[in-house]
Amino acid sequence: MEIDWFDLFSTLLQIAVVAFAIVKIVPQMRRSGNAVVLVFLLYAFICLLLSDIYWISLGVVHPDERLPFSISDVADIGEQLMLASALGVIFRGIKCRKRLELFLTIVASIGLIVLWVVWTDEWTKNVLGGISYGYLMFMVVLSAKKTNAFNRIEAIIVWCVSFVCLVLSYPLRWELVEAQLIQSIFFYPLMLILTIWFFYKSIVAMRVLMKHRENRMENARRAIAVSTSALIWIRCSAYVSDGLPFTVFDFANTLIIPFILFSVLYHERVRLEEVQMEGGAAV
Amino acid sequence: MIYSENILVCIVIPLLISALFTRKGTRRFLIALAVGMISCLLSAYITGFVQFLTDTTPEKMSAFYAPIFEEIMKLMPLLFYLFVWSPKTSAMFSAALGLGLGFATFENCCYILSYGAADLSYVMIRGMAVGIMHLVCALALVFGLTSARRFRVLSLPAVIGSVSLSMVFHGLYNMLVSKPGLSSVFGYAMPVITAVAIYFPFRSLIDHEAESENKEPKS
Repeated sequence: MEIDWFDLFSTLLQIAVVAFAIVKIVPQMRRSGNAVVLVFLLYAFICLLLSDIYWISLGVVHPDERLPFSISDVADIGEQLMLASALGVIFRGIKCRKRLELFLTIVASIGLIVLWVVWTDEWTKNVLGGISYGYLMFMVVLSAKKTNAFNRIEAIIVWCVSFVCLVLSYPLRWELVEAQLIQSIFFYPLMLILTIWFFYKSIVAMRVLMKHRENRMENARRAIAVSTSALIWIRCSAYVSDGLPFTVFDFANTLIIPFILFSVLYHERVRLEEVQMEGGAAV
Repeated sequence: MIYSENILVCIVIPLLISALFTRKGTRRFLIALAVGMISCLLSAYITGFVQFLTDTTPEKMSAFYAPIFEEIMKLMPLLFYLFVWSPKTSAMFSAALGLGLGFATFENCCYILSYGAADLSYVMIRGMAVGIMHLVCALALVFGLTSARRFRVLSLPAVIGSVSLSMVFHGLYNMLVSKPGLSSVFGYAMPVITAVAIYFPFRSLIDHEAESENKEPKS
């Protein structure tokens, strides 16, 4: 069996980070009387943890087994749906128009599903995974709009780059030299630049969260929207990449988890304080 | 070959008759136990059918795909109970425990009848591991469902997310024990370790729920 050491290291690091996240969530969950956002987040992280453990164990116990649809895919679907449900609860009080966002996420999701099916010839995994990913993407885009996490120009640039990368990744299926050239000099650097920008935005949002004592709830919601947008972008980049770039985006996927964790924990702490100040029950 | 339908009838009939002579909580638990056994048989039918359709070996089916169907079959009665009777959280937990135990008991009965029970140590390990694994899966499922319902956010994604967690836990166990050796030792230990880890949080949760239900004014 050939071991991809980068991939293994990346997965082990993700296991460590997710285990840390679970350990941080449980006490806060008990303090807040099992607030549903934390329950959903906990479920999402446990799914991610078990998915990683399953992936490593499968490689050890059944190294030659290639499954068209595995439990690891079920875990990914569960993780995305639970994260989307948590976002739905956090932002449920804020109303906004969502037709354009719905249209764009449906087009992007269908584009991704077709791309994955063309690449791998596997229907069940890609269609089910694509639907759950599309739902998470919709909830993230909606939360970014509700909190004004990005200005209009930033949003237009992100959407344009996403669609350009998506369309450009189609010819890679046929392994043309021109397509590989486009991939290495245009496609990956562009995705990497945008990933770095998303990290920068997440760090700025977290700094605002830590420094400013006013509008704490709004700042926490904005930090959640920015960090989950970063997660969606990084995963999208990973799903259309291969080899070393995939490992880099997978690594970035792990690095963004603490941002999501701390912004949600901060949001729940502020919410709990507000409830207690109003004299209500803990939940 | 074993006649699993006959075994089911043999075990379920006394349970259902005894349910007639019991009250509320005990009756709920007995019925959940019987429903868990029926769910186990139905999931075995579905797994067998899919195995036939996809031309997969029984070993591969059991190791990689059976958890998906088994957890869905456990979810169905729980969802039915939740939506039709809208029970209290403590009642949901009790029903889920009964369901998980019933499922595990019937699975173990069929397994022992098929492969024999001469080796007591192996039977004990299997009883501990499978029994606790189904229990942990049922608890994970019902905790997700009741939490979502308590905050009025019980949606399809939340239900699928909850059942995914129990599928993954079950799937990881099945995959680890599918081959003898160190991996199966980890597999057998996994449910026991998880049960120990979640015992105190779940105990306090169930006590808290029971307290808050007792405090609620009776309409």
